[in-house]
Amino acid sequence: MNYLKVIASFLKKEFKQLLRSREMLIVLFVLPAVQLLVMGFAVTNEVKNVQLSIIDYDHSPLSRKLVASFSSTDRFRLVPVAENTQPEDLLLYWKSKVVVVIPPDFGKNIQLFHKTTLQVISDGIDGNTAAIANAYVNGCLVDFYGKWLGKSDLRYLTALQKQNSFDVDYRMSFNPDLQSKMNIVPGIVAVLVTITSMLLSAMSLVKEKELGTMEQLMVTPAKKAQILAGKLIPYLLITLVQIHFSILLTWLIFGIGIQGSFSVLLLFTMCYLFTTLGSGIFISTIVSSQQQAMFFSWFIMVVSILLSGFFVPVQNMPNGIRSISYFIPLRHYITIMREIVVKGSGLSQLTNELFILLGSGVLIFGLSILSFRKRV
Amino acid sequence: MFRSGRMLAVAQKEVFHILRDPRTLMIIFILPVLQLVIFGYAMNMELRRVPLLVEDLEKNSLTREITLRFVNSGYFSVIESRGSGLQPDEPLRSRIAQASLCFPPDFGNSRSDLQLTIDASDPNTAQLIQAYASAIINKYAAENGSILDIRPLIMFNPDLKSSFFFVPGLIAMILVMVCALLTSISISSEKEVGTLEQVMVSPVSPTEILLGKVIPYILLGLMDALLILAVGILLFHVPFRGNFIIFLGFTLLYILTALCLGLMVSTIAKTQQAAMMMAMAITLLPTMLLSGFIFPISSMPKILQVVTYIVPARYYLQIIRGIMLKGNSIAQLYQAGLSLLVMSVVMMLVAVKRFRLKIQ
Repeated sequence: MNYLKVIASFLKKEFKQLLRSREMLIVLFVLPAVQLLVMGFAVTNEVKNVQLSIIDYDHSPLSRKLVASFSSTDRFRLVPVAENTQPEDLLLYWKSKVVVVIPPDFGKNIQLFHKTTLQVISDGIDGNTAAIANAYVNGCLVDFYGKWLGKSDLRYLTALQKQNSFDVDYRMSFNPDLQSKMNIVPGIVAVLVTITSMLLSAMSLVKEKELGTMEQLMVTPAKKAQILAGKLIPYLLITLVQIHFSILLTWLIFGIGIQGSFSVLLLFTMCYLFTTLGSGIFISTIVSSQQQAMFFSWFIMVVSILLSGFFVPVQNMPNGIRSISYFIPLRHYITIMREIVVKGSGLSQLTNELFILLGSGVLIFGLSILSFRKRV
Repeated sequence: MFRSGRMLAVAQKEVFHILRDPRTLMIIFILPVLQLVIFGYAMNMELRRVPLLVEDLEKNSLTREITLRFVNSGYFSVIESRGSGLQPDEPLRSRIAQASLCFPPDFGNSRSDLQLTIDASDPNTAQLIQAYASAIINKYAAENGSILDIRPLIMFNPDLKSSFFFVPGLIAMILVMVCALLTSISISSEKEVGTLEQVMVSPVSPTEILLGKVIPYILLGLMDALLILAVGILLFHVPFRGNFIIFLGFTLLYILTALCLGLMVSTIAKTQQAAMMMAMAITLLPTMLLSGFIFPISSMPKILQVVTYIVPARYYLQIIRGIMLKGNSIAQLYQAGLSLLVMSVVMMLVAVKRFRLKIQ
């Protein structure tokens, strides 16, 4: 019983310290709100408002219709240009990202069903945007052509064309409107949980080291496990409060509700927190100042976020890096977060992740406790 | 009176400080290179091996031909359906497949409709899957006489390599990290410990202190930036099409802006920890999220787009990408350069004003 009493008094001390500082309120409520707001809106894979110029050498009703069809979507923002501009200059002077050149006689050729060549010149610096913008332009052109074909007289169509046109029905499951936030926001919540638990626990341990109060703790009869429990339980609880708050916010701000079961999500979160709190302890054992603790946590966070599939699907990565990403707990936590929130998956679809997170939690937590010594 | 000897003494002291903390130094040099390697190799939007479930209820030569085209494209790896009658969402939820293609019975004879169900929980990938799939399926029609001949031409980065995009971004990032974050922490830590006051009462003038303190960080930042540039050029074959002197000039201007930002933060923050948090909040995060480093500014909501105008990295990124990848000269970049200059002057004025108030 005495054992628990020691922990309880540690908890009391830690909570008093936490509640006295205004920082805690900021971490608990302001940080999630700001991060969700800024990242939720800024971090997007969507490609919108791409600056597009159309150089129209044709000036026929048909070419004007084509120009109009581009301005009707929010994927492009039309930048007006003079007719004799060189497309290369538009890219060099950062005026537009994509330039479509409509040749003279475009309208006439289409009406007569002759082949006509459209040039699409794009700025490849941002490869992802360029690839997606190119696909959009292609889609727009083909769409325009298809609509025109639908309206026009079909007697020009060859038998072959009729035979080989397929009618494809695309179904977008789970996210029919293709909203990018459905993918990003669960990821932000996962990142938030990681930052809070890892950084705060590391900082709190290092702070005692820096101020010299750790030494005072060490000379007390309290056991290593009691000190750590007293240090970590508050951060475990804080992170759990924070995840409730952030999930409430995702619902309020973005209208994203959890499709799956909240208790399953909490179960996974508990498993995951052991890995992050363990990393926090580990960081605190290898650094000597808060500044170093911050840099180390930053280092670990950046590498994990990049390899976790937060921005880019893990599956797109080359094999070597893909196998490294298996060892990053954040990757599995982001996966379960997305699966549960967006697809409503249950435990039966996520058993692999459960074992991986549980295993890495036990491993990292155990190792870091071993490396934490009761000496300075 | 300004004496370079005194300034150098302060600088030397600062160098010792930096060298005594090899862990921070290691992170400053290793993190960007590691990031570059990850970005260059791993951050790839191109689809690979999308698991595609094919449910072929007809099994004739046409369906086999189309399936084969999916396999040969290299974007998809085909999984044969084990049995029909499954809920179409089920394989997506268990993550056996990311898309499923269903040929109805009699496809190719009396029917020409087929269904493609895509897991859209990652909408970006979903759109790419749709685009590639429709290209593959409509290949016949395209081969056999669509009159619309679309000729795409991608300039500056024809292979759409992500390293071309990220090397300049990382240079901007590291310069802010070293010049703004580290200087503000270093100045406010001296303030906190009280050593700044001791230096103030010595005959060293404030200008000498300030210059002495920032010069080592300028050099550190430049070294780090050149390291990334070298790794990018040697390992990832990122081109450098513009003029190196112009690049250096603009880079120094950007360093000045970052330093002014760091100084401003250090005059506002009272403790080292506050400086750290503030510097993170107003230097690192905006540089990462709001500069166009990874996420295109044009896709952001209007309010955030307005905010990006006060992020220095936004302009520097345009400059450095312009010089390295497009071979831009000053004529195309002077506006961005002017914006940086104006920003650093404003921040410098704020910093100086606050610094004076403190001394009084």
